[in-house]
Parts: sequence; C-alpha cells; structure tokens
Amino acid sequence: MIHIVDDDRSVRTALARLLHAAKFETRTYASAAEFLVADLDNTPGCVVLDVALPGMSGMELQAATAKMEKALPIVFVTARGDIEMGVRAMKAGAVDFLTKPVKRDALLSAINAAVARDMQQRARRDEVHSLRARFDKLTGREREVFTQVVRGKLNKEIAYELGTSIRTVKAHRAQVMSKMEVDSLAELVHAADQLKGATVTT
Amino acid sequence: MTTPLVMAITQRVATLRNAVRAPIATPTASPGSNVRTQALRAGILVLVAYYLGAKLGIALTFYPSPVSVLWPPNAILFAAMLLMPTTLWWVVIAAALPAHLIAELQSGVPVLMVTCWFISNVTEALIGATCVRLLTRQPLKFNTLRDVSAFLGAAFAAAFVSSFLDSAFVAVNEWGHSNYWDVWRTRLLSNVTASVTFIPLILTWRATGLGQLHLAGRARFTEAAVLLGGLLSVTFFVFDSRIATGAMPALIYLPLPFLLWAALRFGPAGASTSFAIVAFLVIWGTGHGMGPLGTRLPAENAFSVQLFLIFLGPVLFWLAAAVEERTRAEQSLRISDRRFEFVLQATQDAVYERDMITEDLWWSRNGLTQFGYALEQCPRRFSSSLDLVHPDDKERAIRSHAAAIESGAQLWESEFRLRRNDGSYAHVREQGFIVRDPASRPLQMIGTLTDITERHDTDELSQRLAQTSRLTAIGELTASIAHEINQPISAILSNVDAAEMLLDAGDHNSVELRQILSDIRDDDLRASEVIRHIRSLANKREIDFDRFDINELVRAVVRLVEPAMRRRGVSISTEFEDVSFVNGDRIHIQQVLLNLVFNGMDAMAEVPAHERRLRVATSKFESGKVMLSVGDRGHGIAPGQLDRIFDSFFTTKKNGMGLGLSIARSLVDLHGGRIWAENNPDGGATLHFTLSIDWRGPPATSKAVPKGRWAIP
Repeated sequence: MIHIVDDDRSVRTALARLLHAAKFETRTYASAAEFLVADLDNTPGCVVLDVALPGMSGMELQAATAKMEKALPIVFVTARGDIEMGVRAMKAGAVDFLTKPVKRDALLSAINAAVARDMQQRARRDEVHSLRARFDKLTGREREVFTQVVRGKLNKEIAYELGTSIRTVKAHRAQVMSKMEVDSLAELVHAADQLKGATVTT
Repeated sequence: MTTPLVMAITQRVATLRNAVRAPIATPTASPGSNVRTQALRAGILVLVAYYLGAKLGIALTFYPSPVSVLWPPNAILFAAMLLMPTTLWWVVIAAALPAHLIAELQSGVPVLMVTCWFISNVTEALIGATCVRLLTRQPLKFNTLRDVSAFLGAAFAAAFVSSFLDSAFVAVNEWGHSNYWDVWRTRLLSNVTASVTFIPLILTWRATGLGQLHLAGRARFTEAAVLLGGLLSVTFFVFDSRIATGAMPALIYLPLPFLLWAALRFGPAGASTSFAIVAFLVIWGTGHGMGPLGTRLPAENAFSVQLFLIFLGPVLFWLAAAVEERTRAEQSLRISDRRFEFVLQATQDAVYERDMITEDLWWSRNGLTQFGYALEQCPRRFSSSLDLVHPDDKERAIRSHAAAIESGAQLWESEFRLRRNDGSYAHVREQGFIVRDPASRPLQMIGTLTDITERHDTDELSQRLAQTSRLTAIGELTASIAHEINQPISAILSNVDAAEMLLDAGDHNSVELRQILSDIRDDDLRASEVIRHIRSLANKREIDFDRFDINELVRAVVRLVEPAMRRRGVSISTEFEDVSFVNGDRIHIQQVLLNLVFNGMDAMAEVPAHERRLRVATSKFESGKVMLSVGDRGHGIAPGQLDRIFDSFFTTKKNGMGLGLSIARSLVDLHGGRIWAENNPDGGATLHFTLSIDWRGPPATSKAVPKGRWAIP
C-alpha cells in the first residue's frame, strides 16, 4: 500500500494513477494531519510525501512518524527542494528525495526500495518480537546464565560467579538453548544481539 | 561450527521470507490445487468430527430414557459452514452424509428415518450459517456484542425452524411414541444446547489459533492452570460426585466465579472453553444421577440441564465480548493518544487545555518554554494567563474568547502579543476548539499558541514594500514560479507515464485514458495561466522619470529595512556626500537599492554577528554622475564571477533564484547608469551603481527619457 501525501489534487491523482498502473495499491491524503489520523492497515508499503504541505510540513511529519514503532519508509517528492533539505531528509531516514517533475523510473525504483525496506523492517520486528517472547519465558536464573554465556564465559566461570555447580549451569544452559530455540552458541549470540539492538531502538 | 550456523541462518531467512510473504498473498488468488487440498482436508475433518460428535451425543444420553441432552453433530455441521466459504458448503454436506449414515445405522434406525434426520440437520445448519453471514461481518470471533447476539439469534432461529421439519419427519415415519410437540421441544433444546456449547468453542479457538499459545508468558500459563484446576475440581465436586447429590440446589452457582474469571481474563476463547468443560461435566454427572440437577426423572433432569446451560452460556459470551470490546477501545484510544503526543512534540506550538468549570489550565509538555518560561512558570489558572497578554491586546483577547463561547462556535482564532519572560513581546496566533456537552454548554477549550513574530515582521515589511513598489510582488512571485509551474508539470509527467504504462500493459480502457487526457489538458492550462499572470504583472508598470533627492531616498530605504536588519543581526552605516538631485524613477531606484541591501545581508548570513556590517554610501562620480555603493563584510565574490552575478538566473545562494541583481541591472540600464561589483580589500564585496545628476532647480518634471513600456529581460 503506497500512501501519497500531497496537497495538490492533480499531482496526487496523477501519482496514484501512475502507481496504480505499476500495480501498487494506493491511498491519498491532502495533508499531514489527514495521514496522521488515518487508520493504516497492516499491509507493507511506504509514504510518498510532499515537503511543502499546508500546516504540518512533510519534514515535520517525518519527525513525528519516526518515533512510532511501525513507521513506514518515506520517499520525498518536492517541487522546490534544495540540497540542504534533501540531505536533512535522507539523514532523518528517508529512502529518497526526488524533485518534481519526477521521472517515472526514479520514482518506481525509489518506491520499490522503500517497500523492500519496509518488508525487511517488518520481518526484523517479527523476529525480534518472537525472540522477545522466547526470552520472556526464561526464568531469572536462566537469564543470568544467558547473559554470561553470550559474553563468552565458560560454564566453570559462570558456576563460580553464580555460586552454583557446573552441572546446574549446564542444565540451565540447555534450558536456555531449548527455550530460545537455538542449536548453537553462535545462534544464541546472534539472538542476544538482536534483542539488544531492539531494546536500544524502541 | 560454521556449517550449522550457516544452515540455521539460511533456514531462518527462508522462514522469515515465508512469514513476510504469507500476509501479502490474497486468499482469493490462491491457485486451484490449493482450493482442492483445502476442500479435501475440510471434508475429512467434517467427516471425523461429525462421527465423533454423534458418538459423543449417544454417550451423553440419559439412560435409561433415550433422551440426548445435546446433539453435537448439528453444531459441528453449523460450525463447519461458518468456517468454510459458501462455495465449499457442498463439501461439508457431502462429507457429513457418510458419517451420519454410519453413526445412525449402527444404532439400528431405519434408513428412511436416518435420511430424513440428515435433511433436517442440514436445513438447520444452512439456516443458521446463512443468518450469521447476513447479520455479521465475517469471520465470527465472538469478540463483539454484535457477534454474540447474531450467533445466538441465528442458532435459536435455525433450531426453532428446523425442529418443525424434524418433528414432522418423525411423525410421518411413525418413529417412537412421543407426540409431535414433545419431539419438537426436545430437539429444539438439545440442538440449541449443542450450538451454544460447541460452536463458540470451535470458532474462538480457530480465531485465536493455537499458534499464539507459545507467545503467552509463564504467568499467563500459571493463571490458566490455576483457573482450570479450580474449575474442574469445583464443578466435579458439585455435579459429578455423590457428596453434593441431594444437597442445596444453590450449589450450582459454585463454578460461577471460575467462569467469570475465564470470561474476564481469557476472552471469548477462555469463556467458551471453560463453559464447554462445565457443560460436559454437568451433563455427564446429571446423566448418572449425580449433582443438584440429577434428582428427578431423567427427562426432567435433561430439561433442567439444558435450561441451565442455555441461560449460562450466552451470559458468559456476552460478558467476554463486552470486555474484549472495551479492551480494544482502550487500546485504540491509547494509540491515538500516543499519536497525539507525537504530533504535540513535533509542533513547536504551545498547546493548552482550559477547564471551563474549574478554570484550571493544563499545558502540553513544551508549555511556554519557547517564550522563555520554565514549565513551573506556566500559569495554572486562566485568569493569571491573561497577565501575559499585552495590555493593549488584553481586552480584545478576552472578548474573542467570550464571543466564541457565547456564539456556540466550536472553533475560534485570534492574534495578540504575549509577553516573553525577558519582557519583550511575541506576536502570537491562538487557534482553539471548544468541547461542549450535549446542551452546548462549554466544558473545555483546547487551544494552540503559535509564535508568528517572524511571520508578522515579514508580513509588515512586505506590506510596506508592496506599497512602495509593485516590483516587490514580482520578486516574491518569481520565487514561487518554480513551485507553481512545477506542480502541473509534475502531474502531466506522471499522467503521461501512467497512460504509457496502461497502454504497454495492453489495457486500453478508454474511459481512464480519456480522464488522463482531460487532466493533462487542465494542468497544461493551469501552467500557462501562471505564466500569463506573471507576464501581465511584469508588463504593467510604466516608467516615470522625476527629479528627487537621492540622500533622502537612501534614508527612506534604510528606515524600511531596519526591522529586517535587526532580526538578522546586521548593523548598517550610512555615508552621505552632498550630492544634489538626481533624475530617475524614484520607485525603481528604491527597488534597486533594496535588492542590493538584501543581497548584502544574504551574503553575511554565515559570518559572526558582530561582523555583519552593511555600509551604504552616496558620492560624486565623474562629471554629472552620482554613485551609490552598498558594501558588505560577507564572503566576497569569486574573481571570475564579478561580471556574471548580474546575469539572470545566476546565483551563488542556496535558495536564490538569480533574479534580484539582474532586475537591478536592467533598471539601472534603463536609467542610463552603470552597475558593477568589486571585492573590498579588507573582505566582503561592494556593489556600485551610478545615476545622472539633474542640474535644473527643483521642482521639475523633466522627461529626459520618454515614457515607455519595459519588461524584465
């Protein structure tokens, strides 16, 4: 689903038509506010966003949505863009910054890239979500063992630090591996990285 | 070590890819083979479930009387139809037939009677499933009051109507010894009981999905286990043990707390599951003459069990649905609250809420910080907030609020000056919304304060500039030409691309193509209208030569730009030589000077504030000429560009159009003067232009150059 936000009706219609011909589903909005209050369904997609909008500008909309968990990637399309503005938009995470009149191939490849990025983000979110759910099932002790294991500590060291026997640590470790649904230490470390990354970004 | 890891990652990527792909694929687009497998699977499932259901129904019969308290096969048929698309209902019916025949013939019923029963059962399922489909949005999840009510209505109606048929079949086949109405009543109750017990169970689990179970945390599992344990033991104690038999009938309420617990905490799936458990245990125990409902004749016992279940089940489902609805409403409220919070953070505006009854004020997170106030300095009462309004504007601000309240309006808008914490005043636009009760009495006012000081100054300046020169309008207009023309051009390009793609794809939909062509025509006309408008503005003014004091004109321009200079932190110095009157168009010369001054200010945008000094001077030049000079301390001009800066569309500025200086040159040319630029030895650049001295004594209206039309090159 491609969300087109542009205050110019004819630009909006033409873009929607073009994207429709390219087999995308579209929804159009005349202002940033209209987009913000709209109920977005859960289909992957992106936002094609004009910079100069009445009221809240495209850049402000970008700033506002960037903080949301399920933000859609943004392709900016503007009638009077300068380099500085473009750099600012790209730094804030925009997929592309195109100037009107926008060339078809440039637009379509930007949108394809944006949709691909959205699908990636969704997949990552799902993965982190399920990792999180698995992690939540660990008991307090198992979490401690988990943390130590991914830091590269040996069973012996962990046992000493937690004040238990190596056998207990081994048992916990096996529990952690099975609950996290991983087969190797490398996978466990990978899962830990994912979880850490997620807590930082959200 | 690497190989398992690589394999695991590949596998993970593959599952992710599938997981991503799955929700995108539309169900209708699944290929034929998929539908066939789905139908086959559903058929087998229905066959097995129907057969087992019949066996269960027989097992739950109250011996010695052949009365079945609930007859699951009908409910299973009904549920299967709710789960399958209408196009596959025939599969459901076809699969149920053999199961029905096997189960019934095993108990020695004549073939004709068995077939008749099958017809009435199918009729019931068809009526029920059709009613549900008409009354609710698919699929039925029992998570709204509407869902639950629609289902109960449909289930009752289906059993009610089909029981007439069933009863008639029994009478015609002369099966058994009961009279028509007894058969009708028995079947109605047993089928409604079965529907209420099984269908919510099947549909809610189908909607929740067993897959979600592994996402539940440990605490949730523990809670479910405790609930299940409590429910089982209490129900078993009351209904399935000899201990409670013949005891107080009020004991039947004992499982109620657990059922309510399930409905409140575990939603429709929890409610339907615990209800099904209770139903099973109650029927089983009562059928064996145990529990408070098992004290009379089997037929009477069956009747009271049915009534008990038919009244208990719906209440639980309604309760669970109401809780779900409420939770969802709260969630969506939370989401929209959070969105609102994001919007508040993104805007710079101060947002407040005024309680009209207590007169308390609440401020958004930023409060009045942009006006220099700390959060705790924000006024908490509406009356004290008025102290911040400029004394001259106070009365107007109060009046605007009062007028909005009295007029019954919902929106209002006003502008006033607000005192900053440092004592200076900011121009503020207030926009608001009044929340009223049904009797239109105001409850709350929600308002935003936008700092428009800069806009206000700019407006004031451009208003004054517009008064002195219509050319300013052109200057401003040129800046937006790109935007104004770009929009239609952009739409035209996209429309042409779209049309081309449609044609390439072989889609010759002439209505759509015609619409595209008509839109292209409209946009083309829109673009040419913009161009025509600009041209008419540029051609309008005629030149008007006059004799005037150049020093006085410089002083006027300096006064004019003073606010803009202050805002940009630029200081200006003037040096006047006693040059006398010049000849020219006063407004044009003002425009030239303005362009040079703004150009100089722009050039110093990036130098430290204390170095932003602009020097404007008049001096005698050659014979009969006066020179005006505007010097800045900015970045200077690259030597190769000293001449080019006066060319149209040549600019070194980030946002420049390259028109200001070219307009200046064409105006100076028109006066027979010269304009040039040079770099200062100590930094920055100076732009000079010359004008002719008018030697004749004042006042004069010499027309050295005839009046004529001109246009911007």
